Amino acid sequence: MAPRSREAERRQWRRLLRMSFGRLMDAALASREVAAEYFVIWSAALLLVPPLFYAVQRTSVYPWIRRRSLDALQTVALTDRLFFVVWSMLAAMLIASVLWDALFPDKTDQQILGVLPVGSRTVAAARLTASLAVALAFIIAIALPTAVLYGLAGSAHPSIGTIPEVFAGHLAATVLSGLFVFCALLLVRGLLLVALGPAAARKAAVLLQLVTVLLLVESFMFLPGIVPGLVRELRQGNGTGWPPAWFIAVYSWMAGPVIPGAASAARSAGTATLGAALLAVAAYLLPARASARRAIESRQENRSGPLLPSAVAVLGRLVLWRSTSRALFRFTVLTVVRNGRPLLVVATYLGLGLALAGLRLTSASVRGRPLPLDAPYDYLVSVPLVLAFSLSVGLRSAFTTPAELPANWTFRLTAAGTASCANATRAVLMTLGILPVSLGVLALGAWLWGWAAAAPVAAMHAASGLVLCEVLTLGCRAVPFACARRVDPTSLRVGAPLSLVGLHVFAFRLDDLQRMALGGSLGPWMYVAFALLAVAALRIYDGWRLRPRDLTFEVEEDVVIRQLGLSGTTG
Amino acid sequence: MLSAVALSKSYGGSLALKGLSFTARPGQVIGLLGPNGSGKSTTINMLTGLLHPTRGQVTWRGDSIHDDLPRYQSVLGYVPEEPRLYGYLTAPDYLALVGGLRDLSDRDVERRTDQYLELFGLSSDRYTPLASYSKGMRQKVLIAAALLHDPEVVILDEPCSGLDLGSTLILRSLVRTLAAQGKVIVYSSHVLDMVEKVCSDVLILHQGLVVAQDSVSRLRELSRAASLEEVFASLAVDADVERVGRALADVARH
Repeated sequence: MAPRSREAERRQWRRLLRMSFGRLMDAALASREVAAEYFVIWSAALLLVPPLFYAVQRTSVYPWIRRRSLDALQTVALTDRLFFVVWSMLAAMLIASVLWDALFPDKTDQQILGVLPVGSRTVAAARLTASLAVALAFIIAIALPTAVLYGLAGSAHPSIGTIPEVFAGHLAATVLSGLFVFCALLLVRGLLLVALGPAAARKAAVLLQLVTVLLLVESFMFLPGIVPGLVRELRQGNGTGWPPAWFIAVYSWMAGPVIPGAASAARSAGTATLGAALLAVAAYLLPARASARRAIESRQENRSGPLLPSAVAVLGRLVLWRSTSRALFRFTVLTVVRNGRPLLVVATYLGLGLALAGLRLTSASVRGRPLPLDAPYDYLVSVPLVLAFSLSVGLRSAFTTPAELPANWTFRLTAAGTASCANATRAVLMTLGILPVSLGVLALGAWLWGWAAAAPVAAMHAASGLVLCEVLTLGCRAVPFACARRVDPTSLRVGAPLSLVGLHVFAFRLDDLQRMALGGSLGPWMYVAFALLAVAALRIYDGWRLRPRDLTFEVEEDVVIRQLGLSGTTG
Repeated sequence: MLSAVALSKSYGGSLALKGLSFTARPGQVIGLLGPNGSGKSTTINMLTGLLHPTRGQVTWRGDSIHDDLPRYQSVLGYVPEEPRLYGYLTAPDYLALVGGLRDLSDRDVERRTDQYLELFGLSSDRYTPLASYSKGMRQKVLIAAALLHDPEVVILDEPCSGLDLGSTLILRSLVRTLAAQGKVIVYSSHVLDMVEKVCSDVLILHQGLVVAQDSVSRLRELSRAASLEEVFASLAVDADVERVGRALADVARH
């Protein structure tokens, strides 16, 4: 190739690199209508805050352990460092699953770039460079603050490193481990695309996103509990064959403590990271031309069948009377299922719910003995309440994320009012958030205790869910997914504690009431009756005081925050 | 009867439209013409109720549409200029959404959806997401959605955009039939040939003002023009089109 062509290609690559950053941000955001600050706040909270809390908490632990024994100190240090390495890997998984949609050409790209004298590999190289840069920036942004804090806390003795050594070791181990996972996933995604085609690869990507979010949440809750066992194996020289051990070896090599086989394991870390990066580049660049051609030709690959819309339509007819409410119900369910992004939000909340449910069960077990399951004990009653709360609040939160906002003119020009909107929203919350759990309670309870015992528990659960759905739709005046969203720091500051209070009341106080109600034969049915009265009262109050007549499409302000006078913003 | 009475709209001190008035009776097709930025979209948005006028009002059967907007919108069918649809829905999903929001029974919506898809040649793509549709296919879905509930007022903003010649001829026949059925039709377009063939009266906007308002034949007569294109060019086109065309071709050569 003539030198001048290479220079022109380089210039094109630089221009495309700038454009690629914007495209990555578009892919990462739920939609163009979601402000970038919302994504930054959400991702920073999810990825950085937990390990930061962990690092802060360790500052008080090390001085105390140091006084006990050196061996205990070294074990604790390895445990903590393994946690940070695994967290970095999980964070990289999440970043990869959010960004990788933007790496592969779509039809619009090809219609714009395909007619220009730009090579497919040049476009692909620009996108890959941008994604690696963004991923590296995120990984470093997560690693750096914890490296500083943990460097101060985790250098309590020379055998576990001085402050600079721990800082450098922490950065090296977490950044390399994150980079390794990111590149490995890019490689997997690229191979899936080549082997299965765009549609199947996209579905696999959505599944991976869900799994990643769940793993991320569960690991924060449970990892500190299982890591000590892994560390014991490492100190004995076992278990250096799995990836986190390679990067712990890097940490140990730079900052101590010494673990058997650290040198070769650290070499494996370097080789694996470099190898993953090179293979990912190859897997992405080599088929770039074919991927671009496929993108422009694809049309029939993502057909959906009639089964889902028919099932949703039947469900809508069962739970709602009015056509407008049924239409909104169908739209909301189809958006949750097909749009993909809402599922990520729900998965986050579900992950938290599963973790809390697990903690509830482990806290109820005495000295590791198996929990009795022969009756509806309070821990068995509270677990489905936690799950239902997580699912419902997760769905309600997902509804506030706009999907293809410019298309909401469809709702602006119809007579659908806030009543239909609220009915549809409640129906979706009940159908997707409450009833599956209630039915699970019924099925599992029938297996464990018999139908006579299971039915009242399931009925009380469903009735509690009805009340929750009423509370979650108080003042509802926006069609799910069809309203612009403005990040309100007050809502974030106030909403989280309110949710925690709600969770405590719903999951950990109602289970006491339900246990009391189960003491008498009429108790559960009185509970259900009171719940239905509460639903009626909330519905009347909502219609009378809270809910305006007209739908809004601009900004959905939290009505509870407004009513309580907690909003610090105007408009 | 649909009327616009001295409609004006300002955006922060900048006047987008001033003093537009017309009356459209059942069976009439009113054409709305004007260059980009003339106030056509603003007018359309006010006629659909999406925008409130700064001054004046839009009335339907003598009452302001904003007195009971849902009632007016229940008899309104609208085809927007941009085919903004929910890409992850299929055509039947979208028409079911619109039909349900307009309080039509499921059976009616299903039957009409099948017929529209059949007539527009979209049956084989009924399970394909709208994101995979071409512009013309999406336009057909929008036309079906606008007519699904048998509206009394039909507002069409560039309805031919993306349509092939056959579909354009079908649309012309459709507009004439709708007018014969006694519907009020407002037709906004840059395709002057189409406007000339289907519209009974025409409004020409230029820089927010109405520069002509009459029947097509009368406008040709008054302007001594052979076609609506010549009328439009004389009233609403400021530039020396020949000179600008030559200059555009020469830009990249220097």
